Amino acid sequence: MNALIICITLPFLAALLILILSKRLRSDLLTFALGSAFFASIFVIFSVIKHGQILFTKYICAWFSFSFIADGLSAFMASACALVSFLIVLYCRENSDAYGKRFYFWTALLVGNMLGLVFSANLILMLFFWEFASVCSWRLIRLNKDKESVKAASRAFITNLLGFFLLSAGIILIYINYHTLDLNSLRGANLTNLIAFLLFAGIVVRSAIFPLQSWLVEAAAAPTVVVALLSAVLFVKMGLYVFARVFSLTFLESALFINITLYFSVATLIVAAASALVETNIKKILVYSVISQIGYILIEFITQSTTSFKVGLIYLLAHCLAAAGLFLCAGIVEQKAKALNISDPGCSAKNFPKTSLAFLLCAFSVMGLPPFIGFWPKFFSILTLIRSGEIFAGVVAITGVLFTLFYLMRLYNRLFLSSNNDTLKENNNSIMVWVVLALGFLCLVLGVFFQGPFNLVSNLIK
Amino acid sequence: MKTGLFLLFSLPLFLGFFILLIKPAKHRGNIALLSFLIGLISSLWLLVKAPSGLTINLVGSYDLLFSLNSFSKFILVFVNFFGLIVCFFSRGYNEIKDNRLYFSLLIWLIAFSNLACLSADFVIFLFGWGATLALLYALLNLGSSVSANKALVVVGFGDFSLILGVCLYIFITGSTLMPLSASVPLDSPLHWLAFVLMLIGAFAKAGCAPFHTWIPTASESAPLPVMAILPGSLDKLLGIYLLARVCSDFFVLNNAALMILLLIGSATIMFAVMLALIQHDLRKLLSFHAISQVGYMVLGFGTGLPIGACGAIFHMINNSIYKSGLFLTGACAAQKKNTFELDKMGGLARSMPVVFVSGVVFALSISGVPPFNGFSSKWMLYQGVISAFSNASISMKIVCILALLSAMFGSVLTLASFIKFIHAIFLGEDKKVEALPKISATMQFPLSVLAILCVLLGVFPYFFIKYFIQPVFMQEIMFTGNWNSLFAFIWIFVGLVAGLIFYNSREAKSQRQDNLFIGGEDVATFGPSFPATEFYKTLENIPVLSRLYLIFSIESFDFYNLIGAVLRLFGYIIYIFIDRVTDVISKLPVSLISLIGFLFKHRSR
Repeated sequence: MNALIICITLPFLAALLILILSKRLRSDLLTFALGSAFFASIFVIFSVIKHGQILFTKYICAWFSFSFIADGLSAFMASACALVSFLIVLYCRENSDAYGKRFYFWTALLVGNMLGLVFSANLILMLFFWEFASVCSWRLIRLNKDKESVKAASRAFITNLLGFFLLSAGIILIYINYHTLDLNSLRGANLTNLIAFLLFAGIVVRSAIFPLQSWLVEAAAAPTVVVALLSAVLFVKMGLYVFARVFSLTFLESALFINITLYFSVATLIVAAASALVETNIKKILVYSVISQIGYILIEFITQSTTSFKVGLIYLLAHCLAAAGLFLCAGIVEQKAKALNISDPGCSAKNFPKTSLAFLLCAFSVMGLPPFIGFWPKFFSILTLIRSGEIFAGVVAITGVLFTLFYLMRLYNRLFLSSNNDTLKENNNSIMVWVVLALGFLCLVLGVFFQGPFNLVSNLIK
Repeated sequence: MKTGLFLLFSLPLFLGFFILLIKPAKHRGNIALLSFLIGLISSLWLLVKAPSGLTINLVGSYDLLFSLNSFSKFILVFVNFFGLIVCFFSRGYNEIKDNRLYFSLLIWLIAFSNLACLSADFVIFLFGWGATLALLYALLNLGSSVSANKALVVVGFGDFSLILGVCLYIFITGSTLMPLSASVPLDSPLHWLAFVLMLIGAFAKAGCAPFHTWIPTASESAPLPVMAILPGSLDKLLGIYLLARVCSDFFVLNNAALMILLLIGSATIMFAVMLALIQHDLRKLLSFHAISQVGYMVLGFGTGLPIGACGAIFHMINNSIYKSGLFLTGACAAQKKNTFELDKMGGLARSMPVVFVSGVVFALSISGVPPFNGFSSKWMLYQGVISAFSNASISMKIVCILALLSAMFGSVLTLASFIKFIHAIFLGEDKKVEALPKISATMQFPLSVLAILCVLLGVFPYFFIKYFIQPVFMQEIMFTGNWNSLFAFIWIFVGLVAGLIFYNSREAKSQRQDNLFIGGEDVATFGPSFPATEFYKTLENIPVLSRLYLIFSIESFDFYNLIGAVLRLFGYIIYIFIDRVTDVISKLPVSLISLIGFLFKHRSR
């Protein structure tokens, strides 16, 4: 219980302190806060395994309550996100001067909102955290304040506002139908198609699912670290979490809804993967890759079985690690070689052995190559599709994997094999390099010793 | 089973990590050797003792089943054997013996191949199978990243097709277990799709046309021991293992499927061997032959008869032995001469006799000359094709004749190109006078082991077939044409000895030296010897052939470029017509709101 509260409040406290503290302490403080949030979430995981779910409810009025829940799903999600955002903040420490006060403040708030959303058990509370997170992401995208990023930020904000209206309409309808917004008391209720589609539309907008994926692509104008935080770890993953929480764990949906969402996810994965092969901006390619992986993850959550739900959680973890690793590697190349487009000369793999190795490890994991962690969930998601009789969708999904193989190898070729510039050298003992290596090796080690993560998830979700 | 899994998978995995951490390069090779020895011994132990299966629950309804059948048992032994041989050899090979990563990658490669062999369900099989792809990439990356990328893409394409095929197969049968007897007939499009996708997976791994292009490209830069273990032996073992399972355990093949296999097999044989003839680079020559030999194995399964399949499996083992031997012979020669160009080598027979003798044995084996092992398996394949011919429809008869012709003709051409190989490397005049680096005993020993195996399997093939390959098939194998190999071997041996005696006695008696008369031209321009490759250049000048060679040397014909182009085309179509369109549409509300904001701003002013 205490760990749960620490986990949620620490980032918010850190955000407040960042406003007051001096320049030098900011990054230390944020690293410390996120690190302790991660450890707190590990504690939450242990206590969930031991005692089952933890519940904290305080009613304010009929439709609003401060109710927080820590069960397998939220504990797993929180620790995965806290771990990767902790690593990203660690990565930022190397040249912490490059990131101003606003970056630390909004990042801390974003992480806080993420953890709040993950643990909240009331739909209104969820919506509140989520909307606030979209404000954070708006401020983060326009951090550079150049024309392109300001435009992208306002587009993201307005599109997300649309999502907010759709979601609130859905939530109001739920309240009218069931007279409560507490997720625990709503468990097992049947959801009408109208409400289900309203909520799903909100998720489509916010998680950049086809056909509304392009606001996220445009948001790639933001600094690399911000894009990594938003798309790989925090903001986009919120939509997936809400999908898992609302549609897989709480309500029962009609077969029609399941079928249609399945088509949306398949369309997302193939459109984004194909676009990534054509796109020339490095960060945009990676954003497309994130969007395409979201399609695969959704497939797992849509199919209503416990096994595929567990596999979906593994996929979330795998994707957080690998996608963050890719973004951060691209960040190193961008910082060193000033490469924004794939036609620009990058860093040669000879002079950047660790970075290129980390990039490869993460890329293999995203492609779904064994023995990396990415293989297991991707294989199961294609198997899930075909087992439910969707053979065409399965073929599309495997084509998406081929596209992934191609665009990631293309990116690797251009980033690390195209340049013969010997003046650029990898920094020795650089935190940035160690962070990306850690992400890459996590992908490898978790994949080779695959029983570990699978056992953890099996223990968490009963 | 648990002990087997530990000794063959977990222990090598840890030893691989351990090797990375130790400093002296010498110990790395020794520990790797130890690990492979343990692997070989435990795989032999598993061969003798039939262990019961082991089930591990992965998640929810997915169970992982480890178990061995008579086929995977014996593949397992050979996987570990080749690992041991190549590791032994690599300890002396200059290019990689000090490489920090090499031995770890080798150990992991064998560990994951063991895992694929030990598995009895598709999930863990695909895991082990695919992991070898990642390691293939890493090993080729020791040479050059570009060729490694190509291999990754082509073999990756095969692997992902295999994954889809397996998923379809699981959908058809409803179980993730790999079946032990065929139950799925090829009577619906879905079944065909699953079959073809699985075939693609096996072909891409084994390097059968049209998925072969990565092998010659990789050979240009990869260290030769890597070529010996991957395209030379391990990929063949795994790829043909899968092909055998697909053809005999998963699907009931009909005539159309058999004909496809026969055609692909014969096309691969001819296509690759014709390209091999014109290669003047040691590595490329060997890699094209590695492709052409796969054709024979595919051909064997195409006959649809036990004798053909048995011949194919036997040929797979034989091919792995002499092919890895040839790559290692090439490695010795290259280390000695510091070049891969056949034209620049020559006269090495005197300075490394062991390598020379084993090289000749391998070359004769691959060309299918009795009494070496290549002949005994090819002989079975011919018998298989002829038996398939005898009771078949007309179209099948035509295909069988084609297959038989290409198999025999391919054999002849193989011999032709290996005469070049042996002559260019070992015979003729030594072109360099400076002191040559020595080939250590650690490199010669594995070669002689492989050469002895070539002879043994050639002279006593029925022993091997009876105890190793026969158990794979439930039924008795019928030999139509019997051939006593021991008898033939004795006669050939006697003939050789007699020839040697005759030659020596003649040479001792009379030797006459004369001036050459060549139409008044200067003798010196011809030199004391001629390059072995010269003769084969005529081939490139034959009108029709020269055109064909030109076509196949064009890059765009390459499967790698083909699939890249197709995907890029699809990518552009989807990007322009779907992604950009949705981008414009989803921008509309945003632009509307900013327009309203803009108007509002101006009004207030």
